[in-house]
Amino acid sequence: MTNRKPQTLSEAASLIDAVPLVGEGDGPVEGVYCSDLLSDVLANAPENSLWITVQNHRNIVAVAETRDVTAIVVAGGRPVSDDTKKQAERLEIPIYSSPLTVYEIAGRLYVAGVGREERCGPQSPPGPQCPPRQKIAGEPQ
Amino acid sequence: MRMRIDPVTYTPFHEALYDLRVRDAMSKNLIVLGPEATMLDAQIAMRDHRISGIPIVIDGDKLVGLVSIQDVIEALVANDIHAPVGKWMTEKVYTVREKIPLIQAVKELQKRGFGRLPVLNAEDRLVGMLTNNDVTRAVMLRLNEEARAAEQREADLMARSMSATQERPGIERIEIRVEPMDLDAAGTFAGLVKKAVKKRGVSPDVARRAAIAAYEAEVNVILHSMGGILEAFLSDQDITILSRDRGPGIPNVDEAMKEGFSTANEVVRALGFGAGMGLPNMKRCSDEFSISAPASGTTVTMKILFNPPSQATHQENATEEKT
Repeated sequence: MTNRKPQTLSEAASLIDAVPLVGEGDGPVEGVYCSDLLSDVLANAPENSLWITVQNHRNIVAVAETRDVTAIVVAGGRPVSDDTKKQAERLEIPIYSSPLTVYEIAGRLYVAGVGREERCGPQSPPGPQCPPRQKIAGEPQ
Repeated sequence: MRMRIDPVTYTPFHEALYDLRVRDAMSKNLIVLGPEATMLDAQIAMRDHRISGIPIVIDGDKLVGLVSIQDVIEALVANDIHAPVGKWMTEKVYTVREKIPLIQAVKELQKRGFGRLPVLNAEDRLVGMLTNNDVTRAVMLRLNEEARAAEQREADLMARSMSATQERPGIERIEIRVEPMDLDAAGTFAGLVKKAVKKRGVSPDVARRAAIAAYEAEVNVILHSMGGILEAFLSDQDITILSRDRGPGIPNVDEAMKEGFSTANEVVRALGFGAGMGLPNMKRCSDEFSISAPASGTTVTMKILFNPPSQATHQENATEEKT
């Protein structure tokens, strides 16, 4: 695992041990949203983000399409039905599967700096733009 | 895999039986005789009116007995057809009250093997007779009424739909019919809306807001209504999304507009629906939003401008004004 902040779907996927079930790609990853409530995702998922969820039914595809997320990551290695995969292929929504829990996935991506203000990335020196952060356990120095 | 959750099994026939009371079904045109009439009078009355039993009353409506065909036959066999009915009538008559549910009276008819039951009011006065035929007719009438009301609602919905369509020529229109609880279809309308607005070269934010508004409206009709019609009208400047369903409406719209309020059941909540964010999401995504939700059906109208005057106020990511 490198300390470099992942910028694309494939880079982010390798960081969270995720394998593609549908589609692959180098779509941009600028944010992450973790939620299992569909309307919450529709309302709040940031642009060009990974959506981390334990929901694995076919409605997640329509939500991802509606909200323009870059990809769905189904956490906890939960199975995804062929029906859902087919729908995702049709709408060209990548679906990845990770054996990690939502917490672990979010933790790794957060530590790597995904979705945090650019000025406060892990490499940025503390300053007026970026107040010093609390050190997070496991975070690379 | 079809994801379709059947609505609670409901049998209109039983519902009608519970809903109706005895007085709604009973015959009120009563053929009665006084105790001084003869068994021959009773036989003639039964033949003329094609009934199988005659209540015997005093003072006009005070029940004292019942003469059935069986009683007439027995009088004939005994060669006593000219005797007063008072001699042959059944005196211990089983009766029902006019206000009890029809289902209860039906059970009595079945349990005791009676063909008819005299109906009394609260003052013990005879007000009607109830036969199996009366029960069947009343239930059929009620079911027919309900069917007609449902047809009328459907016709109203169609009429509203037609008028909206014909109003504005040169407008691109999308229409989709939605069946209750058909979660497989969720996102169909939103997908069409998104494609249509994208084709017009709107900003990604506008396209997303239109799609979200459409999706939430679609899911609401699927989850909370008896089905309906979703439409979108695209002009050069905006898209209007119109969602209309067959009811049952929203008892308290103010409450439903609050984030977190939901009436969704456990099954759909486990799928991630029913967060109580649908209506608030729809409002936040729209430049104009209106809702009316009588029991006959909920109508939601949302307009989204293709070129919003100030982007800042329309970012659906923007947090709501805090007061």
